[in-house]
Amino acid sequence: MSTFSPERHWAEAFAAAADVRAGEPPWLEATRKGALARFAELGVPARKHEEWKYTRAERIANHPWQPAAAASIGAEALDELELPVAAAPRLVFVNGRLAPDLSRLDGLPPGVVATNAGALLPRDGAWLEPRLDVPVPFTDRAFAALAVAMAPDAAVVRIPRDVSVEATLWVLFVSAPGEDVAASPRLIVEAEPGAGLRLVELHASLGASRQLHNALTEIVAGAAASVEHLRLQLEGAGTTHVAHVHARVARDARYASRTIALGAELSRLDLVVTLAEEGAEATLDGLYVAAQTQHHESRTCVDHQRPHGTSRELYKGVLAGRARGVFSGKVLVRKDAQKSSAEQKNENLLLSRDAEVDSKPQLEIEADDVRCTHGSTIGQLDEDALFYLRARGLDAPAARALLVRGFLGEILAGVEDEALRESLEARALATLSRAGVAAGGAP
Amino acid sequence: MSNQTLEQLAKADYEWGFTTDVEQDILEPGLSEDVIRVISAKKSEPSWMLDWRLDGYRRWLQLAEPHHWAKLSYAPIDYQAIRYYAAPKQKKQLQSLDELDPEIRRTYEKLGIPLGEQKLLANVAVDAVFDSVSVATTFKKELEKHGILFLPFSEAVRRAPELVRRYLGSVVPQGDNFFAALNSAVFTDGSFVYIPPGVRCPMELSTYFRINASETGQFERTLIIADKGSYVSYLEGCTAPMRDENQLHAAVVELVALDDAQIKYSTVQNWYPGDAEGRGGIYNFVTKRGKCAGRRSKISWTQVETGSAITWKYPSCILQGDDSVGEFYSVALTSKHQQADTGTKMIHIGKRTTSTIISKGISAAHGQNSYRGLVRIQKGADGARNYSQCDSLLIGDQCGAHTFPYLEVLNPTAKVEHEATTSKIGEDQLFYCQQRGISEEDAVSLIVNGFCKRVLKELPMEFAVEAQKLLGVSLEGAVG
Repeated sequence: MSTFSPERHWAEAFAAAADVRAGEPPWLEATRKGALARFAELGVPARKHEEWKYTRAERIANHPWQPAAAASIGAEALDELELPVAAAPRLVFVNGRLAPDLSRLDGLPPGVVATNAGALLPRDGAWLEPRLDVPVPFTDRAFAALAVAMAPDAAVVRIPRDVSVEATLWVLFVSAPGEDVAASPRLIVEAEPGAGLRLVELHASLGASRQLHNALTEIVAGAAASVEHLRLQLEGAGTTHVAHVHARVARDARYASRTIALGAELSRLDLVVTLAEEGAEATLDGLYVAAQTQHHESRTCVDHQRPHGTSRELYKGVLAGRARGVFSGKVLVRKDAQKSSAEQKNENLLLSRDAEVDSKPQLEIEADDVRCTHGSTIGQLDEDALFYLRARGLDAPAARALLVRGFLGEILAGVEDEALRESLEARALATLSRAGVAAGGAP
Repeated sequence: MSNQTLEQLAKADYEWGFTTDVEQDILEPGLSEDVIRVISAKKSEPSWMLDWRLDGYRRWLQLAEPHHWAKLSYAPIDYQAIRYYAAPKQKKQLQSLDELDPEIRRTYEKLGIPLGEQKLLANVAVDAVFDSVSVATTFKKELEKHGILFLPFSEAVRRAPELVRRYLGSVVPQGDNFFAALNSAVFTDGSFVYIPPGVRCPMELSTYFRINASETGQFERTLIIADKGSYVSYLEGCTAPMRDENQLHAAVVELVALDDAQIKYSTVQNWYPGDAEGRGGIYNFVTKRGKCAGRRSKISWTQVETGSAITWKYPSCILQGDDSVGEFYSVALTSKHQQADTGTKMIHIGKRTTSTIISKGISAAHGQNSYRGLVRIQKGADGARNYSQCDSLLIGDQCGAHTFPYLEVLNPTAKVEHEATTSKIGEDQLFYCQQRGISEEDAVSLIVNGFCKRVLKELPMEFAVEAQKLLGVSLEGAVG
């Protein structure tokens, strides 16, 4: 293992996967080769890399992952996810490739594009070309570059000007069982000016095979558009989930992100929201629940580039067993971004002696007429609150479970679909009760 | 360095003596083991001290200058272009305060520094009424009566070698970081304080220090040991502007508090910040760390940082003893083109240890101000508690304020809270003041002082008053 070179390994894997890319236009091959060269140039981040202080990149990269081959799963396989997945509209990707037989697009207004990049290439290549390259904020992220090089396809959602999609659109990235397999799910979303979209992006694996999922999502909210983005990371126990998500929010547009990370053995989310024009607004909510030896890192960056931007952020974590939760949130207010308002909060519940939380909120402010705050707390369940509940006849486990539910509830309450919300809560509580805490579950 | 040059240097020393008028008593620029040997020899140090320095030097060679994490930008420092030894220079003595640069004179007056002290600071020949020697002697006698050791470092190495050997490097080891390693190799000056068990130091060691504040040196090293049940308050620096020709300062301060001991360490730093265009100014790279080694011990850092072009400084507490307490109160003001990356580390090891961090950053003109702090709760620190508050105030649209806290918690019974705000100086507050006839500049000074109140009240009283004025003086020209 000591002589294993991830850069060389992926160069070889890229060369070997030439047939997957057969039929792609030459510019796409050039984009992919450029990204691969970027990956090699950046290399796997070393331990001393400030952005990788709390998650060891070698743990992700130093393994001979094999690119996932095309696989087909039956509709019944989706039931294994035990989630109230919408029947429609939905796009299902298996091992990074569209599964047309599982996808349903009824209920989408005319003009809405929801498909895969491969299908769009022949007619909309010019539109896709810039969007298939490494998103600008991630040009220095090795794993994002690798995802661009290796993703066999991408989900593409495009909402035309002033069209609001009534139904919530689901994009499912499911991976079929297979040991030592690496998938690169990719999602490109564009809401044109005045458009409205509610999106659920789900990452899940069938089975508990040892896998790497290197995901990349790019979202554009055009002027006065509104995008609500619920991102669910419910991967299997053997999965290493690396994700880069970028949202560019234009003038007076609104982007609401909600990320929920319950699965995977190791997961790392790198979410960048760029408030690129005046009056842009973003909310970032996040929940990470980990038990046993799980490791979740949530990195967020809100980049206020222009005046009158507003952002509000709340990330909450519950850690049990020997789990480790990392939050690193940056708020950047650039020189031009006067009258910006930014709020950030991180709250953590540490439920066991062997769990660990690292919280690193950051403010970088270059403009003076701003109001920015951040706060971070780490602690255990409030003794007074426990006493209050027990005095009213709840036993200790039930009281604890109730308080944990309340803690989770602040983020989960924003999940509008009731069945989905309950299912997520049950999952979170099951994770914790397996670790021997918050037992008792929902009444 | 060849043996020959070394011999020459040794000879030069011999020829010119060590404390005499010393334009010649300096080493050529550059750093090598030989230079360290010369420094050690000049200070007539025992061999263990030399070995300790050489160990520091060897570690320094292995270390890289930390560039990647601090939010600072400055031209690279050429460590071979620095002279590592120069005996204290005799400053030109003035006959009266009238000969002093009127600008400095004005600053003294604004700060309200008493006339006698003004003379001392400006190196005016002192009159009989305010004879520093006699004052110092009185203080010394008083301290000796209590068994307190308060000595220049080199004297401590001779007079209290056991204590120095035992504690030197016990909090900041030679290889701790690049600048601490450099300091370990070449430090030439500094103070040593030992407070015996149960003794409450009868005076602020500041007073004495201020009178002796001249040329504290570029590579200063301070070691303070508070034995069981003792108390000491130490003030370093002063509010008066310090013009210093050495651009790089790399000091190390180590504090050790044993059972039930308390150390209060206050700093006011007002070194030359460079001019309005950002030329010149001191680079201040300081390692300050205290160890609450004993149970129920307490270390409190208070700092007012208004000077220096670059400030790189993280006074920290290792809370080892059960129930020990760490505190950090800081005001950092950056104006002109100053950059400050400062904060603290609170490492909770013992049970029920508590720490408080109050940091106030003020950025004006082109100043860049960063708070960087770590709160780490180790596994065994049951019931540990931390509260941090880091506020930033922005004055003008060319400055920046940044907050980089790191919270690492490995114990579920701990409670850690951090909050931070960044905002500009309130228009309505300014308006309110101006409407009542207070000039804009005074109003800003008033508001800034209110903003910093929680920190300033931790300073020994007379310095708190001066520090308030200092904030006003430092902000001059940054408003409007």
